[in-house]
This record gives sequence, structure tokens and C-alpha cells, in this order.
Amino acid sequence: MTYLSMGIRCKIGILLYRGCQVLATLCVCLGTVQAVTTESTCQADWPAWQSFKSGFINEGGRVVDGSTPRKQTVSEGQAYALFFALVANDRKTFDKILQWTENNLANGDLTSHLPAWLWGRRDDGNWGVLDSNPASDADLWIVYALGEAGRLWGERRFVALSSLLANRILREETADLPGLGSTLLPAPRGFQTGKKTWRLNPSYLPMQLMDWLSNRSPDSAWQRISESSQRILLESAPQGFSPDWTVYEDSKGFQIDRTGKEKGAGGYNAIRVYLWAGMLAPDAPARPQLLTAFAPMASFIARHGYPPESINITTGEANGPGPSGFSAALLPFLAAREDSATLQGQQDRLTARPLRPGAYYEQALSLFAHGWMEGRYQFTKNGSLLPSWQKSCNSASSRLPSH
Amino acid sequence: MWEAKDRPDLARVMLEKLLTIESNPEVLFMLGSIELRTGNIKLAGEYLRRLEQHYPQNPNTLGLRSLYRVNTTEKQALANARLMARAGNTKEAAKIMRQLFPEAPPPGEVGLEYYQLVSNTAKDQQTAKSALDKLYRDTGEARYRLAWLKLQSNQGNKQTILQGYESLAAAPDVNRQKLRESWWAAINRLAAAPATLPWVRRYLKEFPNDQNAIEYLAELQQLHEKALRIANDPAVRARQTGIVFLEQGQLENAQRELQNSLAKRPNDPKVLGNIGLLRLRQGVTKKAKGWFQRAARAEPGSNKWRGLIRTANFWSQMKQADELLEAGKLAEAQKSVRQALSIEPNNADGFALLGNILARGQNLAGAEPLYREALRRDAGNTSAMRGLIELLSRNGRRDEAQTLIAEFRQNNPKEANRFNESQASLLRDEAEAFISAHSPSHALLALETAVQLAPRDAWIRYDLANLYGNLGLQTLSRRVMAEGVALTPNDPSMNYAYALVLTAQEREIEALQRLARIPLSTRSSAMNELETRTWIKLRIRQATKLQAGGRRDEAIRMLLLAEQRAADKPKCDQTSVRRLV
Repeated sequence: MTYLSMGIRCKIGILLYRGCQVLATLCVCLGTVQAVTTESTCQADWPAWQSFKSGFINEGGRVVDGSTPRKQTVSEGQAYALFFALVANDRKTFDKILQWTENNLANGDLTSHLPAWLWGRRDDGNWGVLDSNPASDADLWIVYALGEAGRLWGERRFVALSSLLANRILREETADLPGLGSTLLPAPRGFQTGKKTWRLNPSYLPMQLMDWLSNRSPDSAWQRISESSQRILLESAPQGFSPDWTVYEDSKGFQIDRTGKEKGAGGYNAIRVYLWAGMLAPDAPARPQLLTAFAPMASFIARHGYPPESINITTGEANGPGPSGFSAALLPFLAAREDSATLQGQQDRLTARPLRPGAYYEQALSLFAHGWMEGRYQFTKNGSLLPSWQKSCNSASSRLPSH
Repeated sequence: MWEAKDRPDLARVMLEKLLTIESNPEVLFMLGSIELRTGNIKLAGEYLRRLEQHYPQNPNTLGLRSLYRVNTTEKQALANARLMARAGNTKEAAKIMRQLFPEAPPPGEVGLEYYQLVSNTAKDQQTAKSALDKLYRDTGEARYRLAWLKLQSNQGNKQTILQGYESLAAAPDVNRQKLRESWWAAINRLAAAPATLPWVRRYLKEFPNDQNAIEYLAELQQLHEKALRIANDPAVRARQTGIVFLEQGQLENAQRELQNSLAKRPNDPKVLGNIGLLRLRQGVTKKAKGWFQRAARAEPGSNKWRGLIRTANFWSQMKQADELLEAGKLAEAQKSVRQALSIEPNNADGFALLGNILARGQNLAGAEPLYREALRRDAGNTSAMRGLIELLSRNGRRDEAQTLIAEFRQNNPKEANRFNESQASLLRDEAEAFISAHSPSHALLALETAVQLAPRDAWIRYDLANLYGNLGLQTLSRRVMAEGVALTPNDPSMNYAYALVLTAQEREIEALQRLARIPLSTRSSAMNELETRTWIKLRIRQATKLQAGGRRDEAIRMLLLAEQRAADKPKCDQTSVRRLV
């Protein structure tokens, strides 16, 4: 199903997005869009995924950022890759990525360790964990990918690992912040910066994942995290621009993070905030507020013809155009806002300056965005994953329990 | 054509007419050969001179020259060759022929004679056949085809040859006498069986007055009717049906049919022998031997039953060895196996059983080579594979065992599932090792894989369910067992294992429901104990709830029930009951 099937009235502008030229005439005649199933086979044919694999995932299941001096791997890369493999119905690669992650980042056992966030070549030339601190954004995506893979592929063990990791996240990566409640911290260590201050990352909090976790747990722990997450997203972006990092202070609310190198601006981290928001299901509870709150970003793009690389979230001043990957990341958001002209503009920008093949992070953003735009997957109201391959393949029981 | 049909006079007239129209080397050749045949040597010589004058290198010229030769200077030689041939000295005849015609023989009857004689070696035959085939294709003359068919008689598809003769019957230029002789000879090379009937009939269509054929037809028809009678004989049919059932493994049906047949045909060796095979399949080896002996007596010339008697003896010993092994009498078991192996020294199952006996006696070092011997004789032998896999697992050489299984799968893709249970066992052991090493995630993978390989094994599931339970994943734990009872709802072990898991999760009512599905006759004492324990636990829980709700009297009644039940079963622990009263 393309995003068009989500009940959006069709307008000619929207029709022109990639992969849907055929619909153009149809839409004009019919007035509303009917659900169009993209051709799905059991081996979901996703060329962009194949490229991503050959470009960044090695035979052993490790996602390598070759541009870094230590040829490093971050848990976020593994997490995203698991998600993409699931969307592609690529079980073999999923297994390899999982195995590498478990063996190399989690001491061989994901039931008892959160994965370390950084791995690569050490100073002495050996390869191994460079920083054993986990990263909660990766951990959340791993929990999600495992849980949904377990459901879609009928694999009990994945469901088990997902549940256990989710419990561990609650135990080790959350804290009860005064005035905010139960909150997901970026990592177990290092993010309480003072007696009453915490450093937080809004892009670590995709609401669809929060919805999913809340819906699956019998207790309300994740519900509370979900609530604080939404507040973080909205309150840390008073001018409608999300910061990479924010500082929460008891009784003072959200402050600019002056200590980090981003100096409180919104850039490489924050770009994902708009991406996650754009991909929410139309009836997802948080969606309307988020789309409205970040309208200024849409306006910026409309005005300048590009998203900013880094933007001062108070003044709205940018340092210059963001890379093409940022344009890709914003496509779902613009589509969700039905901002067809701006959407078209960013698509044109991408055509004019395609992504560099070796830019790992941008390629990942693109896979998320274009995969969604092409209808290869979508999120439901309660956060479940609906991959396009599910219809054509006899997927295993979805009656598997969540815990 | 007229020449072939032995009407040289007519041939001559036609050819002379042709010659007046046009001078033609072929016509000259034919006229020349006719004159030679009818003894007009001088006239033949004139035709030859004309050919040599006008067509010096022409094959017809060369052909007529050879023919002329053998009718004049080498006439005696050709006559000798013919004499030899008639006397049966084909070798000598062929030699002379080769000397007469060092290159190719002339076309026509002499050529045919040549080919018929010079076709003793395979190479010669091949040459002759090719030459005749070419001649036939070039001229279309039936006599070449007939000669070719005759040469095929020793090899080739008999039916194609017969069809060849049949079609040749329609050729206007064929020599019917020669055709008839060859065709009849070909029919006689077929078996004297009902299948030959249609060929004789077709021959009779062409030669309806052939007395030999008429008699032969009658003979075959009689055979045919007899065979039909036999085939329709219900006792024979029963025998055949019984044999088919036996081959398909439907032993009860086979038994019924073969017994039916036996009643009418008590001395039919096939019936007797197949009942023997049935008994063998049923494991009743001594009886099997008796049947084979009867079959051997009924069919004295046959070796088949002797071989089977030996097989029956072998399995008799093996069975005895098996029973002794079960009973723990290892030394005697070994003796029996060795006796079996003396009957069939190369039997892989024998080696495997010997290996099992040694393994049981803890002599793993001795057992391993025996299993490998068995596998050398019969790669993939089930008993040997199972025994070896288990031995390797016991020795902690699980990787080797996995490799063994993987290799088998690679070499036998159609039987990939044969050793699933063995592999599941291996994985279970592996999981145990992982759990001891505090690697529950790997243990999970091993056990989930094991469950996939042996989905009906209650205790592998139980291990997995326990592991999930220990990790705090109660629902998944129950799911593992629920999946199992869905597969085998009446398996006492599966229900029992499920009940154990449920009691561990303090779901006593569900556990009791599970146990209730196990018929009393198949219950073990452990199952009954579980039931009692669970029942008591349930009552205690209910009593506690009642007491908490202020319903003290009911609580006490409940506890008294529990105590009574505990008292009934002396093994049961009554302290927990007492504590609450």
C-alpha cells in the first residue's frame, strides 16, 4: 500500500512523486485514491537495500562506516540494518546481523546485556568494543525489529529477546525525572549531568516505537515513557526546530545544551525527529501535534529550497544547506503535511544532487524515507509494522504473545 | 527390377529398347550382366568393350569388368566360393570373395552374395550393412533392403525388423520367396509366448496359406488362453495383490491376501516365499525361515529361497542379540551378534549392533571403530549413524557429530530429515552446556532448533519451556507446550510435561485439566504424584484466599480436604497443609 491509500485526497502535485506516475491519470478521474498494492513477492525486491548491503554490510553481518578512521560500527547501524532486513523480508541477512551484534556488542548474550554502542579498531590494532556504554536509540530499534520480526516470521526466540531487552532498557536506561516522570535516557551512564540536570536526545524517541511498547506491555511503565517522550519532543523545540541535544533541568524545563559540540543546534541527530514524525500512522495519537509543532521546519525548506545542515533552534538561523540525505529524511514529513510543492522541491533537489554512495548515514536516512514513500512498509496506529510483503507471503502466526 | 525378379528375358527387352534411345552406362551394365547370367559371354564382352571405350572410369564399367572376370577367368574361384558357402565353410568362402573383389563388389546379385558371405566380423557386418543401405537408397530396390534386414537379425530391435519385412511385402520388386524365408526366420527368433501372436497374424495376412504359421498360431493361442486362465485365477490374483501390499508395507492386507492364495495354492513357491518375507518384516524370523524352506522345497531349482533362509537366520541371531542387550546381558548379546556376522560377515547392521553393545558397556573406544566399519559398508546406515552420533555427543565431540549429520544431508538430499531426532538430541546437550556457561541466548537458539527438528518430543519442549520460564517469559513458556499438545494431543508425555510447566507457574487448575487428559491406564506413578501435589496446592491456595476473605470455616474445610488427600498418599508432604490449619 502506498501512503496514498491512507485516505489522503489526491492532488496532482502529490501524484508526481517517485514511482507513482501511473496513478496520475487515475487519480484525476477518480478523485480519491484507491489503495494500490505495490507488486510484492516473497523475496521483497528492494534494490536500494541490496545496494546498502553491498555498500555497508560485510559478510559477517557487521555494518561498517568506512568513512571513519577506525572503520567503526555503531549499535545504531546494526539496529537500523535489522529493521531494513525485516522490511526486505531478508531473513538470512537479519540472522547474520543479529548474530554479529550479539556476539560482538553484547558479550554473546542479548538476554543479559544491552549492546555496546561503539566497536572498531583499537589503538593496538585489535578489533573490539571501543565504548561499552549502550545507546538507547539503537536499543529501542533493536527491541522493535526483534519483536516485529518474531511476530512476522513466527520466531519465538526473537520475541523473547525483544521482551528481555525491553525490560533491560527499563531497568538500565530510564530514570524518573522530577517534573517529567519516567524518561528514556540516551544511555545508562553519563547523561545525568548534574544533581538536577539531564542531557536528552529527542531523536532517540520515535513515537511509533513508544506506542508499540506501550501497547505490548501489561504494565504502564512504557506508557509513562511514552508520555515523557512526547513532552520532550514538543517542549525542547519551542520554535518548531528540534535540537540534537537538550538539557532538562528540574523546575526549569528544557534548556539549550551549550556544552555539546552542536551548541544546542539541530542537525544530524535532530533531522530524524521529522522523519519519525512524518511516518506516523495517520491515526497515531501524537501525530497531529507533532506535524503542527514542526511546521516552521517545513516553512524553512519552502523558503530556502533546502533543509538546514544545522539550525539555531531559538533564532531559526541556519549555517547552510543540509546534505541530500536531509532532503530525503524530510520527504515523509512533507508528504504527511500534504505540502506538495515543497515535497516536489526536495525531490527535485535529490534528483539534482543524488546521495553519495559512500555516505553511510545519509544512505540510512534515505532507506527509511524512500522505503516508506514507496510503500514498502508503514506503521499502524499502535506502532506495528506493516511490510508490503506480508500480503503475498504466508507469514507465520501473528498470534505470538508479546512477552 | 525384372532382373531382380529373375525375369531376365523381359529385362533384356526393356533395356535394349532403352539403349536405342540413348547410350547409357547403367543400361549397358545391366545388359552386360544379363548376358553374363544367361551365359552369353561373348555378347557380355561386347557390352563391356563399349563401356570401356566410352565410359572408362565409370563405376558401371568397373562393375561389369568384375562380373565379367568372375564369369570367365575367375569363374572357378566364384564357384568354389559358392561351394564353400553351401557347405557351411563361410570363412573360406569369405576369403575367396575378398580375393575376387579386393575393392568393392559389383552391384546386383553377386554383390548381394558377397555381402551375405563377408559379414562375419562386426566390422564386416557394419560395412555390409552400410553398403546395402546405400544401395537401397540409391536404387530403391527391394533386394538390397531384404539383404539388409537379414543382416540385422543378430542385433537390433526385433520388432523394427519384423515391421521392416512387413512393409517390404508391399514392394512390387521384392522376391517373395526370399522375403518369406527371412521373415519367418525372424518370427521364430521371438519367444514362443502369447506376445508373439500379433506378429504371426501379420505374417499370415501376407502368406495366408503358410501351414507352419497356421500351426504356430494355434499353439500360441493355446498358450495365451492358458495364461489368461492363470491370471484370472483368483488365487493367483490374491497372490499378486498380496505381494504388492507387502512391498508397500501394508502388512495386514498382505497377510490376508497371501493366506487366501495359500488356501488354493498350497505349493506355490511364490506364495510360500512371500509369506516368509512377510514374517521377516513382522520380525518373526524363525517362522520366516520355515516358510522359506517350504518355498525352496516347492521350487527345487531356485537359489532365491536359500539366500532368504540365510537372511532369516541372520535376523534371528540379531533379534536374539537385541533382546539380550535390552536385558543387559552384554556378553551373551555379543556372542549372538558374532554368530549373526558369521552368517553375513559384511552386514552393516551387525557391526552397528556390536557397537551398541560395546557402547552400553561403556567401551566407547571399542564401539567407535565398529560404527565406522558399519558406515564403510553401508554409508548412512541408520543404526550406525545413530549410535555414532550419540557416542560423539557423550564424548563432547558434538561438532564432529554435527559434521557427520551435515555430510549425510549433503550426500542424501532426499533423506535430509533422517537424523533429525539425533541432531535434536545433540542440540539439547549443547543447550545444557550453554546454560551451564550462562549463555541463555545461545541455549534458546539450540533448543528452538531442536524443537523444530523433533517437534513431537515432549522433553525437548519441556527444556525449552523451562528456559523461557527461567527468563521470566511465562507466556512463551506455555506457548511452547501448547504447540506441542496441538501436534500430539494424546501423547501422555506431552500432556505431563505441559502440566509440569503449568504447576511451576502456579496454574494448578490448568495443570489438573492437562493431567485429566491422560487416561488412567497410561499414567505413570510420577504423573499421579503430580496430580495429587497439584490438587493439594490448589486447595491450599483456595483456602488461603478464603481465609483472607474472612471465610474461615470454608477455609478450614478446604484444608481438611487437602490433608485427607495428602494422607491418602503417604509420599506426599503434609507439612504444608498442617502449617495452615
